[in-house]
Amino acid sequence: MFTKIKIIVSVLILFSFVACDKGIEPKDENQPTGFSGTVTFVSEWPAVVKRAFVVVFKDPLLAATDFSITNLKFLSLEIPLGVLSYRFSSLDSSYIPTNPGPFLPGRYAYVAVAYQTTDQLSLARQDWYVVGIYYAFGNTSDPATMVVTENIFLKDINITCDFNNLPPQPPGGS
Amino acid sequence: MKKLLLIFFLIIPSGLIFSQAYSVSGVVTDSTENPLPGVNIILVGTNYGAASDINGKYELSNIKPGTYKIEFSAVGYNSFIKDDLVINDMPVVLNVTLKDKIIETGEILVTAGKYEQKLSEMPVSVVVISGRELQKNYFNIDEALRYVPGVSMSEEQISIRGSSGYSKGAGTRVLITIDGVPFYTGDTGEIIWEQIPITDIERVEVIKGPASSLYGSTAIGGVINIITKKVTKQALTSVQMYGGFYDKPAYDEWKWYKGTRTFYETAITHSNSINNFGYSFSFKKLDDDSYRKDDFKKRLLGYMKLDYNLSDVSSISLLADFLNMKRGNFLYWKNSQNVLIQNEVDQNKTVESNRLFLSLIYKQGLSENIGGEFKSSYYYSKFDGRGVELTTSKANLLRNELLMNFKLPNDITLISGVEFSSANIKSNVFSDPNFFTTAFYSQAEYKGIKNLALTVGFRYDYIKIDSLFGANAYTPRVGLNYSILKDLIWRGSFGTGFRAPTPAEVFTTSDVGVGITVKENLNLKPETSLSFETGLKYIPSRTFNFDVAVFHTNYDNFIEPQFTSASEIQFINIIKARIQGFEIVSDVSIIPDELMFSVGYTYMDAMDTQLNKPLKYRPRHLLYMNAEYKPAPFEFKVDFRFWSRVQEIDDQIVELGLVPDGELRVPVYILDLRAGYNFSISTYPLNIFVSAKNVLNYNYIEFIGNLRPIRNFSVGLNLYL
Repeated sequence: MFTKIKIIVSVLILFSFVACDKGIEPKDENQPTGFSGTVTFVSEWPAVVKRAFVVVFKDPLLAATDFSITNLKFLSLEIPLGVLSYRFSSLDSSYIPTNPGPFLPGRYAYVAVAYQTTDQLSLARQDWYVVGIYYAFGNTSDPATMVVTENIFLKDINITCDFNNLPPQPPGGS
Repeated sequence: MKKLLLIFFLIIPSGLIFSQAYSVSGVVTDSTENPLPGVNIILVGTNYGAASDINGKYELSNIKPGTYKIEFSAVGYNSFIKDDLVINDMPVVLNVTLKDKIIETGEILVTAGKYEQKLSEMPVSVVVISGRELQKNYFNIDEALRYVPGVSMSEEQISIRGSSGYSKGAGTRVLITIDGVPFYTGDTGEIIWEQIPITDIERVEVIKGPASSLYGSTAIGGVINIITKKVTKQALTSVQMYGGFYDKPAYDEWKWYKGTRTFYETAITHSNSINNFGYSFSFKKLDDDSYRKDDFKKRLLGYMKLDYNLSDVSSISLLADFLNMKRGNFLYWKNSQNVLIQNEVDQNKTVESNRLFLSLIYKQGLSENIGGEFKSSYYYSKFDGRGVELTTSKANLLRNELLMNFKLPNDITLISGVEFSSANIKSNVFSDPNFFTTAFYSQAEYKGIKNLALTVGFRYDYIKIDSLFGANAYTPRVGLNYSILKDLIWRGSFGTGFRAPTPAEVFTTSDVGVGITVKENLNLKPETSLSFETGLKYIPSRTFNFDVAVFHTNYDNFIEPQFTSASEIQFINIIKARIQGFEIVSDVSIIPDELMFSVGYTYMDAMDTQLNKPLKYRPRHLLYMNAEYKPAPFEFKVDFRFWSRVQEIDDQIVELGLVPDGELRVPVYILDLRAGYNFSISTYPLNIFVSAKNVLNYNYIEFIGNLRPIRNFSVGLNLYL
């Protein structure tokens, strides 16, 4: 009899414990829409580099004309020269968009780190070099598409940069 | 060759083999003197066998004079054995009463080894679920399997001891057979659970662990053998009806509908015999609104079984099973705020399918010690997925098997068989491949040493998928079963297994929603395995048993779906994988015949040993508990299961933002309750029941972005006319 009571009590305790937990629940709706990540530099910065940025293009860079201000949807603040790593976020200040905040949901085909060697900031395609591209899942043959979804904040848009081994450059470079 | 053997069986007049024969007949009842249908009756060591009809009556005829050992067995009852049955110069009447079995002691006969063996003498772990248990407590067979120790499911994909993850049903590693005939589609190689007629099942045998040496490619992770009910000797009509509704979702954000989402099912079965001809027909209709949008189901299922006893040693059985199904196509939730609806672009997609399974089984006893079976089956399946584009596939799978069974001197039983199967597929998803397989197998069981059963088996398979490759596989296996003490049985098995990729895994090129496509992989190789299992079964008393098993399987070229680029999935060969663990199962009868309790725990360590990370969609811990309380005429049942949180899922889908909040997953705690009342209207037995599933309204997934059914309630009845 005592054994039966123990079994029943144990089962009731277990079910009571479980009953308090509802499992999956809705996430906070106020999560911002956007992305963040870390740029890691695995080689020394050449002295010729004058400035570098994280850039996000909406459409794939299939022609020189795709590397344009209209296709460029995110341009971070300048990455401090010589750093080993740099954290960026679409919520922080950036040059594009000029008023950072919730990012526009959508698919972004090209996410990269680009630098210039000119003394003055230039918008000409031939003045830009790509030093690191966002890849996913070990596939370094194609740039990964970043999918930004409403009320989702992507946290691991990480990019590795090697000035000694530049990735394939988009069309139109010098 | 097949034709010759078939003709050979047909032209042998059974009278030449059996002359001056007599019969044994009688009635089998339970302890309350109610007739027991479906009891297996065999003359041990011969091919004589029968089953009791709906009135408990049985008859074995054309028996040669002699002294026999006769055995009566049924799931849920203690076997009755009479050692000195003398068949002389007149018919023998033997009425038998079987007592309820408080604990399954292992004297049940199973056909997992392609011939009847005692459960206690199996070299691998086997669980038997009786048809009565299924029909009383579950609406679908996959629902019942979710409560079998060591079995887990990811949506429709079954996994025995971690063998499978999730691949949208394609390429199952668990073979389902219906009366020993494999049941999987020709294109995707998947199991269509909805097509299995639960009201027509006699029992289900779950064989845990690789069985490729007997069953071939698909059985690398285990076998589920579904035995259909025998046709009744007298007219019997049964009606099963239930209807219910889904409760409100747990959170206001998830409420997407007004009113009530309902489900109902009606099943009618009629069975009868005229002389040597028996038939059984059943028809089932199900409508399920579902708790999710775009997830409705409408099913029509027709089932027919025809049995004809050509003589006392030969019979022919035809089974036909047709399913028409229309359903929504729910892929992934929109996000955690909207788990019961999809993204707008994926909404309003539907799938319609028609499937026909036909099987023909011809059995012929050639002598007291030699028997043969010819099994032929045809499986037609067609589906049309309607969304932005039409996806369609039509597959024809034809399969033939010839099996011989020899009882040799020195207590050796030998079975040998050959198989042929071929399929052709027309599809805009899998292209239009054909495949062909042939196989030979042989297995011997030696019981010449007291308390020991030694099994040695071997199988050769050749598989050719279209013009791609021809694969040879050799799968030997050895098994041992030894009674150390009267109530302590040791078992062990060691062997190899293999699985060839299905056409779906090789050729699929399709959009699966949310921007993800599946890409063909023409370089996919067959996977192979090397496995080991050992276990101990301890039955110290009629009210308690205990079973422990340890298992280990190494896989080479293990096939799993993986992201190969940002938005493409391919089935690829993981170089090496390992699944190991242990399992403990125990049954206790606290109040004999009235209050029973059982528990099962499985620990699984499923690893991709190349990357040193867990395989996807495998829980590490599975725990099952159920309690039954049956103060007649009432009955109550509680089922509880716990699956630990799966360690790995398709992270890429989440990281790319393709399934918002797809990372959400939790341990599974599910509690189901059922109460029933048994009575009679006139002389017709009736069972009415109320059922509550997922009583805790616990929200969980088995696959990314797919919430499993929320709490639902139903009432129903089972009536026998």
